[in-house]
Amino acid sequence: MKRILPLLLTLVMAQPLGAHPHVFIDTGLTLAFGLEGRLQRVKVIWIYDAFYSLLITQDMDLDQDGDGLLNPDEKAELTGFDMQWVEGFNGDLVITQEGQELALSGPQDVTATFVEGQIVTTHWRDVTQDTAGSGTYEVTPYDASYYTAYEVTLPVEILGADQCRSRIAMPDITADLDALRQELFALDRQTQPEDAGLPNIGAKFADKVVVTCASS
Amino acid sequence: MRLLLSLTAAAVLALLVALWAMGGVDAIGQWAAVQQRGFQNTIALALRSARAGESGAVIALLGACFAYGLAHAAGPGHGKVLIGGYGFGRAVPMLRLSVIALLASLGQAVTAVVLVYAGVLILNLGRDSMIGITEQIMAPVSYGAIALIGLWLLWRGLRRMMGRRETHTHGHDHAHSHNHNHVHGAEVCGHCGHAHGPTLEQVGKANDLRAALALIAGIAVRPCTGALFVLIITWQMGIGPLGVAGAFVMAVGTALITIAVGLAAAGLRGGLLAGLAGSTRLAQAASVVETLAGAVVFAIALTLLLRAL
Repeated sequence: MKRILPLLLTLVMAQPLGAHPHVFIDTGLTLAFGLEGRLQRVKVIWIYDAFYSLLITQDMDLDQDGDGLLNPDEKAELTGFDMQWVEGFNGDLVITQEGQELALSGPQDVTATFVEGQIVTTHWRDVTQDTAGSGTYEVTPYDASYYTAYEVTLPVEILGADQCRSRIAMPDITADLDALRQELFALDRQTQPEDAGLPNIGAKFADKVVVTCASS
Repeated sequence: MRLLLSLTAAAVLALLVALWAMGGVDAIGQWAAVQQRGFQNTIALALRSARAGESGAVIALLGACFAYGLAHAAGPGHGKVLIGGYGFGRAVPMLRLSVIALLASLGQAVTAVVLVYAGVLILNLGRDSMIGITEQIMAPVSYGAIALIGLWLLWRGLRRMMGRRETHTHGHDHAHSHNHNHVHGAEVCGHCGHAHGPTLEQVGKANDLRAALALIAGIAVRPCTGALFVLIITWQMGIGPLGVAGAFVMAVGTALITIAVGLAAAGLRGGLLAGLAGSTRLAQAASVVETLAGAVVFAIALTLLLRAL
């Protein structure tokens, strides 16, 4: 999990009883390919919702003059606020190739800006294990506990691989999934979904970016 | 004609129960949550604009607070169960029920303001502890109070059901050979000199000021967390009075929904019992309705209370 800022509690409380998720992030991805069509680096863009952004800036005493702009000092302070990853945290990103999960590095080249009331952060991650050339990749940003909802709303960029195409597979809201959503909603806010028998709920509601590369 | 009204009301009631059983209520709550998320963001942006002194920000903020209140009230909580149960279970004049609902919602805003300003000014509490207090102490207290009121409704209904049976065993053994010039289906029986079946008005008057106050207090003790958020943030930003206005505007929004629920419940009750007006069965039916309403309110409040503990 990301470092738990105290005000995350506040966010939880301000929601209706039991309504996961609590933070909404518009997500963007840039996939950088190297030689022989291997995925090498991934850039992740997180745009936080206005509500959560307000909580963060208030808690960190940013934008004191209220003009919607951060001065260089404030920007420096904001940079990396969401990059203090606890050991074992996967950065809420899972990339698989032909079903095999790929190991990713920690966040690098971190930035943070403030645009129209929303905090925007970016970071890069290296694919640290050798990938098997071309094939189908699945890039899924999601929080297993569904505390945070990631939606891939920005266009997916592909660099260095003209033979690759991406499409977004949105969760298929079948009757079962809808029932699951109802169940989730009915949970007490203190309860973790997995304690209530709903493990890895975030995966079920995640947007999946499927990248297919024509074999060269 | 009146029987038709009763049957229609019964059908509507059955439909509502079916809707609830099929998760329709959850769907509404979910829709409300989605709306609320949207308004939450709008409020956040409006707060920023308000701090920056942009024109139109105040209107935007108050408008967003109102919309948030409406959406929030459509979800769980805010006394819908209690007001609805009360309006259904007891014959309460619609105006009185509406006033109770309004005062209960405004009461929530008052509690929020008191909590926040007492917290920041006197106790120097941080945001988390204030909201912690709300959730750990006031929410259970509210659920407990509502559960008790549900129990009270239940008990009154049961007592009435028992009482009805007793009174029916008296004085009907005397001969009916003399003139039967009493009016059927209405009030006083001419020859026996006491009421057979009461009219709708006579059955269960919500007389108690105490009952009304209990209702208002039970709901008001738990402030809306959205209001808390607005109050705390505006205070931090130095625009506290605007936050107070926002909290009350939110309360008006929630009040509208709660009043609507109360009126619908009262109307449903009226329809249901209309077919029985003037008959001896009315009192019995009314007491059953009251018992049921009390049982439902109690059950729901108890569930919420146990979850919150």
